[in-house]
Amino acid sequence: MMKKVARAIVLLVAAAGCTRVAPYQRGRLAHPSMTQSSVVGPGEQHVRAVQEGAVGGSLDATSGCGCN
Amino acid sequence: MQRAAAAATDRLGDPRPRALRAFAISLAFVFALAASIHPAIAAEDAEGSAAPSGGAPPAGTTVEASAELSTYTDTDNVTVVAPNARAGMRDDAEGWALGARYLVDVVSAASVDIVSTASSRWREVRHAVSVDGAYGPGDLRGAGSASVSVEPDYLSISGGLSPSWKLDDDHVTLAISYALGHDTIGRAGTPFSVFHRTLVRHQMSAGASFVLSPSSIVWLGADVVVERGDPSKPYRYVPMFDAQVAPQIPSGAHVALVNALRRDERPLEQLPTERERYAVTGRGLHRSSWATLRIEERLYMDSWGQLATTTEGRYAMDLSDRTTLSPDLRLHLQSGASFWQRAPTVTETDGAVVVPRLRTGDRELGPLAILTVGMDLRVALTPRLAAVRTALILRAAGMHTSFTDALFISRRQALFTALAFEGAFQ
Repeated sequence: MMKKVARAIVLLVAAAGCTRVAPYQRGRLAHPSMTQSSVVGPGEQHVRAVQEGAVGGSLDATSGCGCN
Repeated sequence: MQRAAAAATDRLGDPRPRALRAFAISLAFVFALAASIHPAIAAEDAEGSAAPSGGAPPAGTTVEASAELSTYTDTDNVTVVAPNARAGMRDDAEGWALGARYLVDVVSAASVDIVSTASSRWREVRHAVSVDGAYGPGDLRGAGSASVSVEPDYLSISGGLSPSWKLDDDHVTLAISYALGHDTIGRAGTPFSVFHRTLVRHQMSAGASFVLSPSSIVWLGADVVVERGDPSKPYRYVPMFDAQVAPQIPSGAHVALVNALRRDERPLEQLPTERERYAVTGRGLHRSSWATLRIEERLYMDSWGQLATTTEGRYAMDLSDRTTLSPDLRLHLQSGASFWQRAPTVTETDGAVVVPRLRTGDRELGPLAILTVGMDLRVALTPRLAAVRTALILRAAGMHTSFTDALFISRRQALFTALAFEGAFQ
């Protein structure tokens, strides 16, 4: 299982390394809907936190859009 | 909120009138906000100052404000009304951002857990304040946040830092984070100095996003959460059964049946005082000319023996330049904790009754499935790149929870609604 995960990550890095996206090609990446952040508000996040036993997945870092 | 967490489902009463009333209040709240800034929108339109949609955004500091009113109501007689407001400033060219949010939860509950202890409906208010900031004009960016949540029987303080690095000409972004949480658990009406427990939480996360094409990004991340302290609810009493009676208690057994078959002992909940939680998350985003597809999968396990998978999909469609409709689907499946028992049993040794060392009635620690079907409608009131930008967002989501091995309840339906107003100007 761990080997498969590691292999998938290596493939992703390699795929990203092979892809060159010029700044003028990043219009779609910069679209507001391409955010990595949570798309639900704090109210719904709180409902999920109370009702589900699982946590995690909240870290994000938007990239690729050429913006800060 | 610990009593809200302890509250669960029943089949008493119809929540729809309360939901409709809360929804009407939401509408009034948001439209009042929208009306208060209407003169600014009208002035902008009159001057024709809206930037062309294909132009660059105005430079300089952007001031942002938003308000949301959300409501939750379910078939277990739990209702939550939660208004929140956020204000912030940012400068994309300089690379900094600051923001703060204030949220209030008003919880009203007469759930089956409360009914089963012959208690009456209760209401509780939670106040939460959070601040966040970020700085990073270059490839290295730092972000931080802190929050305080206060309710009569629970105080939660947390803070965290999250740096990120852009690598390979912005094709890869690495991010790590650390957050520390300190919770004080008490009892309503009793000062913390008389009774309290402490729960400390360390959360460490790491992840990376990869640009796969001019329209696709993938994120991979992992979380480790270490909790130390006793999170047992001081209100939650666990019914006990004889070993030969327990098999007769079906899933979803009615309160009357449980009370008829249970023993007199009803000890307080006792959970382990240490917990390690692990999660890995993958998220893919793809943008076509008019829509964005977002797929997310989270796998979770912890030292209490719980396993979970959460799968989400969302398709945001641009119906026009200003209108976006986003249906979404979410499925959460989890197994029970290793000490989970639908009908906990006692043992008797030489006439002495011994209850299980670990015991809980928290059905969120049992096996369950939650299916959420939702829809967002976002309507921009101004052009996307205008100097003053405003938008209304309406969200509605239905949630169906199936408890496969719990007392009192086997399913729960809930309705979540939110109405938000967002504004930004430079």
